[in-house]
Amino acid sequence: MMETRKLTLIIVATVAVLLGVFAALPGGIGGGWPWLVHIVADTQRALHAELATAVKAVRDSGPAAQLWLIGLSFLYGVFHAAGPGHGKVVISTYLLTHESQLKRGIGLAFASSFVQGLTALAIVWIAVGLLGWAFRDARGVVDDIEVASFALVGLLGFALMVAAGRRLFSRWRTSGHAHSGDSHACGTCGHSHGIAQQDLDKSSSWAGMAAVVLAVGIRPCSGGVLVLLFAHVAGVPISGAIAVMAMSLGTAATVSTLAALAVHARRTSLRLADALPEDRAGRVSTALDAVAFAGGGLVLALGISLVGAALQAPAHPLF
Amino acid sequence: MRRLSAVLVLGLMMVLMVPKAMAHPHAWVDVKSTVVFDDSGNVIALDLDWLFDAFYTVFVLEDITAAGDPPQQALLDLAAQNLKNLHEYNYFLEVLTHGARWDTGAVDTYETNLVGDRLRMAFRVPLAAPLNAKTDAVSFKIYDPTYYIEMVHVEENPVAFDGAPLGACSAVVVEPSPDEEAVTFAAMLDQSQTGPNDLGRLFAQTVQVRCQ
Repeated sequence: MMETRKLTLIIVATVAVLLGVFAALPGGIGGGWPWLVHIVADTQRALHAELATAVKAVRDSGPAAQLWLIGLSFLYGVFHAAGPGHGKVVISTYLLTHESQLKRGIGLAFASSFVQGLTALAIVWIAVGLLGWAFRDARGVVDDIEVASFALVGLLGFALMVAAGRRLFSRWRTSGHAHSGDSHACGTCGHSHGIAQQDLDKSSSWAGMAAVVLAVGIRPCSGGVLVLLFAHVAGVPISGAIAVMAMSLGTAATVSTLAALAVHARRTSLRLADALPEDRAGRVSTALDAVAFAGGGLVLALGISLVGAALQAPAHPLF
Repeated sequence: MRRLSAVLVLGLMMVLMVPKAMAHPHAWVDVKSTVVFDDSGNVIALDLDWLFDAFYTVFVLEDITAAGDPPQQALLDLAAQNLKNLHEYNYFLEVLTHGARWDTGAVDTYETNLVGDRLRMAFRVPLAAPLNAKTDAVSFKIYDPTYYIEMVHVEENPVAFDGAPLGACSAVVVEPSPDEEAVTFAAMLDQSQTGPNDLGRLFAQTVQVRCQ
């Protein structure tokens, strides 16, 4: 019992640490480090102003200025992503509760960031380039897609809950003693030592990853949309597209850091769990599924709360 | 099960904080303000001068610019529409006396033009009733409550005076320093609530006006 409690405490602690990281990230909640909030805000403003100059430089002096624009866009992406957007919450919750492979965690961060950039490209290219819509209408599409993205986030959370819930339920049914109290020693659980080690090697499903990328990524970066529209007017649409891809790369760099942190926190918990005595290993699996279930619940609640907020929010007076 | 609920409760707290916290600026406005006095030395209005960033400018102008520069009438129509939309937001302006909110009225004079590739919009917001600059501890904040647009005073000559007693008045732009508690409280607010502690306000500069 002590070990189970310890394990759960460890898991709760890692979740708390991660949530603390969100809370401390500059640009958003950021109360912990007000000076950092200012640095990020000032840097972002300066980079944004410089971006406009850089796009015009590409128009006026050709490809030579392109490299500068790419570098600026990358930095803008890094700083712009340094706030706790909902995408980062979804990604890290998912990783913390489902993924033990660092490579795939970082892959998820990159895929989501690039899909965001590509969605911005697609919207501007189709709405403005092909259909000739007014800019205001083209940007309005972003708001509509945003609601869809939030709904998908909720759906993803629900699916994760169902999957984990089913595993929990089947384990509860197959081990009849599980609900009769946890006080007796469990020597006959049928789980072998090293279950946590298996979890360290195991990856989450491709379907789950794809769902995360879709739910997070189809919400385009509205900053990216504005840059694309600007480049379109300046007559250098290709440069705009390259700039948005560089922004995605910058965003991916920031989000990857968070992803690595999430995967690392999970791996640490699993390693600690692996050191538990053999007869507790069964509980580890149950605890992991419980964490996965809770993670799904979080994502579901986030989706619902975002959809509600988006539907209630009035249109911005200046957009 | 109790531990599971602990995780869930912790997570739910986080989730409730997110919608507000995810807002971050996508457009920037450089602000200059002028404190306007009447003949007897009372503050009667604020003149606000907004310079939008180049991206926003292109965004709003493209639709009214067929070729070349937009006609002045189109710019004026745009400003009129923007000011109409901004009315229920008090033009992103909050006037305070001794820290308490002071009512402001509707804009009826404004001007607009292009400065290079940036849209400028300047307008006068009258106070509902005059304030005594010497005794009323007048200050004001300019911010987009949603924090979608970041409004920052320019570095050089951010605040001017119109009709102030000569040499008697000064203004200080105080940078925001949101403390953790206030920010967390703001983050917990529902998105639709624009209380006195919404996100934009926490990151807003405060201009303090002092007259002798």
